[in-house]
Amino acid sequence: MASIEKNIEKWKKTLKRNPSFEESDIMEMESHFRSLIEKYMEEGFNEKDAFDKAVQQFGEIEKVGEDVYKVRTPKLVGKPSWQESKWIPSLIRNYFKTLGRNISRNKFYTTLNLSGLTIGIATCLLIILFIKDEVSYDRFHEKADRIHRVTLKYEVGSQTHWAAIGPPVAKGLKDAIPEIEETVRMYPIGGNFHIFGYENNRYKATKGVYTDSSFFDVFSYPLKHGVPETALIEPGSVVLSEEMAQAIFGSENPIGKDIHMTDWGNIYFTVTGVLEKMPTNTHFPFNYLVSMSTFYEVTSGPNWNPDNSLTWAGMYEYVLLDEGVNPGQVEAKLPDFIDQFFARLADGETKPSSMATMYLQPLTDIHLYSDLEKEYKTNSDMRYVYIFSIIAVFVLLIACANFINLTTARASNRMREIGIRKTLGAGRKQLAFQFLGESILLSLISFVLAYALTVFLLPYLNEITGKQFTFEFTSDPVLILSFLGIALFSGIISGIYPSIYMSGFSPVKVLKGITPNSSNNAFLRKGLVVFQFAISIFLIIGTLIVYNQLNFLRTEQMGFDKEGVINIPIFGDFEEIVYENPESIKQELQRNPNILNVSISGDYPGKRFSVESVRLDGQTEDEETSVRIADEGIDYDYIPTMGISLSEGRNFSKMAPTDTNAWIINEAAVKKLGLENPVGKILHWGSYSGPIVGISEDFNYMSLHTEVEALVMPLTPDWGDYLFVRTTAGKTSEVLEFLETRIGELAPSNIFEYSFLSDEFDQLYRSEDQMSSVFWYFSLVAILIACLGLFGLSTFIIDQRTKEIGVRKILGASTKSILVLVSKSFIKLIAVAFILSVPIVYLIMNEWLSSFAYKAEIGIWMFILAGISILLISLATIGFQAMKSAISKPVEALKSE
Amino acid sequence: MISKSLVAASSKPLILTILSWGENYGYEIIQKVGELSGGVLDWSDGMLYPVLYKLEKDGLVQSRWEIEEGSRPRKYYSITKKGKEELAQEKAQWINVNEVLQTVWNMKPTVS
Repeated sequence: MASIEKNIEKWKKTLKRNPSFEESDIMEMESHFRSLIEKYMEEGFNEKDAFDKAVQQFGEIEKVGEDVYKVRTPKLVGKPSWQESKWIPSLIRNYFKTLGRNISRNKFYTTLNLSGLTIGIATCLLIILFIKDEVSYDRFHEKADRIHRVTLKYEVGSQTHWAAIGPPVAKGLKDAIPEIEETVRMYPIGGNFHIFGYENNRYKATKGVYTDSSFFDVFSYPLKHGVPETALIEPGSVVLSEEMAQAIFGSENPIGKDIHMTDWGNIYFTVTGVLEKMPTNTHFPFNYLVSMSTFYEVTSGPNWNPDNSLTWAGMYEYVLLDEGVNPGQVEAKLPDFIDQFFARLADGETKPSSMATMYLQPLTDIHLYSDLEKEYKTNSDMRYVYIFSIIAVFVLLIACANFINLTTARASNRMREIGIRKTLGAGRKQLAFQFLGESILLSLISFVLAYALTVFLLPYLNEITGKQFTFEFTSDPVLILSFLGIALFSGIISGIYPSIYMSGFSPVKVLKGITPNSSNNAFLRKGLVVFQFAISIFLIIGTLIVYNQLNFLRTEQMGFDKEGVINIPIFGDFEEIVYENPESIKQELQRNPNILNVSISGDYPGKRFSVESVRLDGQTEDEETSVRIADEGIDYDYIPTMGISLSEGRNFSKMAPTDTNAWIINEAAVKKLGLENPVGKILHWGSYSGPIVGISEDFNYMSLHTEVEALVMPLTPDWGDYLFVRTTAGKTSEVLEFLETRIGELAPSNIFEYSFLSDEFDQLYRSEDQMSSVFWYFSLVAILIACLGLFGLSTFIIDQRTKEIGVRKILGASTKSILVLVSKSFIKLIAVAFILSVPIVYLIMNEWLSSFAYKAEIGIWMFILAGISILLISLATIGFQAMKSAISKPVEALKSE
Repeated sequence: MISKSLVAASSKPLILTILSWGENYGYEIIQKVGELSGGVLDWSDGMLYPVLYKLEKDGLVQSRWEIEEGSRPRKYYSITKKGKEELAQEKAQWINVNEVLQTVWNMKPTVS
């Protein structure tokens, strides 16, 4: 009998353990249960079996309890609060509650943490968008992975690697190499722009390209109107961009309509296609395409046919390989191809393939990796992608450092919570996860805020960069994942140390109010502040150095005077008038007292002059030296107009009849040609042969990245793309007004175009300019985040020392001494950061500067300026709180608890 | 076996009916259910109590304790006025459902 009582007691305990049941319920059910046992025993079961049967008959206590709970709870759905839900770990509600409380009680610190992280993550988002765009170039072509550009490197002489090659090469390649499925050539239409006319409309079109009819087979440019297979076959066919078609024809369908190029021989074109809106992320942007057959028709003559120009580096040629073909396989066949194809250029002794190498350059590599001679446009650089990525990581780390500092510094405020949780059985792991979870949650909140911030900032970024960045979240899972990855990463980085540190508190000690030994912790905190400021100082000094170098490039004596020169492109009706009588136009303009000189010449300094081979009298063609040459030559007035000084000899003179075939060369060319007493020596370039009459100083006609190269300038007085006008200082606007009226009178149908030589020259430093402004923005962001952290940390530390400050004041400390006391420790840290970052920034920036042939020295003043400014900024940050505590009445401080 | 949901639905009218015959306590109620249904309605005994508590909470039954020396304490339930009204309604509903089903099942399907 005793054993059955024991069993019943046990059964009752399961009832008692269940919070659903009240005392009376248990009594009632026990009574029922006993009756059941009794009944079974009467039926002849023994005690044990009767008990077992009763347990079975009564059913699962847990289930009964749950139903009773449902009857009694005011909640209509759900599980009893003590039962674990299937997917939410227990206590999670409590964690949220604690987190919510912490946030609302510490709005100040939470705001600091969140804003730091938000700015950090937003910066990362923007940089990712930028990088994503950079690496996306030319990938929109469906066959992008099979398209390669053919480039040619001369292995002799200047070893120039050309992005463009001779017109017949493409067809030759297709015929010779079966793995090549298709080829296409692109040749930019000369001149900066052309005027198209349709009825009374005039349209200034830029970026036109001659291309083969295979264009649409190779590249993926869908047509809005027209048939891609036939659009570019007939001579005189033109395919327009959507914008261009819209501007010229409005809503009319332009297919089959004729437009004419009014500025260039009045050529008529028939519109055969209109392109859909084109992506901007291509290395080869264009606005309209003209059939290559037009080019052949326009240029071929009895003496010249493009297909005979084997060595003319004129056209950009692309091959489409068969599917599955390894480019290396095709490249291996290229030396043989060169030997056969260029056979007629060979002298019999040297094989053409030993003089030149042909490469296949993957289409998608061009934008980031290609910097060859005669690129269609200046490409970007993979190094920028790396620099940006590193900066993004740094900015994020600065934000995470804030989080770590503020959380560990303020850990003592949560000691009681930690103590109690531990006492109630929370393990270290559980606590660590709680704290880590909190930081991840905060970083996710920051992520949402950062997203909003980025969307808000995006239009401005687009304006600065001239790109069209968009957030296409839904269509790009990789983007979503990488963004979420950043949020999680920053949450984990910021949370991992604080969670390990805080979860390690001993419950007994913290409940007694003993602060855990935190010397490690303080060390880490100091280290992080040093880290943050080291990066900030690095960025400030870097910005200063970049800025200084760019300023140097702009103001450095270039060997010519780029200020006060107006460039006027010669085209259209004006071109005809100029070529009719160039001298009279010059004289006419020079009558204006504010115009000092007028020159009609080919290129201006800053444009890349082409490379040609010249030879001295007595040398054979083998001994030719390749030098840069002023393409279309210069006229009598170029040297004075550009303000170039001659070190020897004289300028071209109309008085000297032999000057019509003469040269002016620079000092570098004298050296390269190995001349002594150069004036009077005869120089040959094709059929142009004549004496050297003058030696110019080495003026910087290219960017200061490179040393001045050898340059020769022939005289071509009646030919040129530009009219250069030198004005008296300060009279530019008057002169412009005069030029516009005068040229307008001469060529009424022309659009007046001009630019300033100084602006054109500054274009050379555009990528440096962009880098400089990017550096500048990031320095600001980094300093801002670091200061947010410093502000929080100093506030907290001053808070902790309120009493100490009160006592000191009572004992007679002055406001100043309090300020010094509070700021001292931070200033020390910033000094350490400064000392650490200086050598690193010096080394890295020196490396950057070494890419310039002409560089501004890194001055001590930059470091001093950076040091002082960061000191002032941080003093202002700390000072606000320090001052508050220093001038507060000691009574208040001592009363505070 | 009768389905779980049907057992749950029928528990209310069944218990109210048994109580309408007179005051009773948990064990006896469940015994009656067993006898009357001939074992068709197979309840685990414990499940009776949530139902009873619910009826009591809704005011359909009331209870009192009877504790006497020497015998087991028992909690007696009796039907209230509201309970009777509820039972009448339930009854009507069940009969309705029953009739509908009967009619439907007695019909010969006609193909038109």
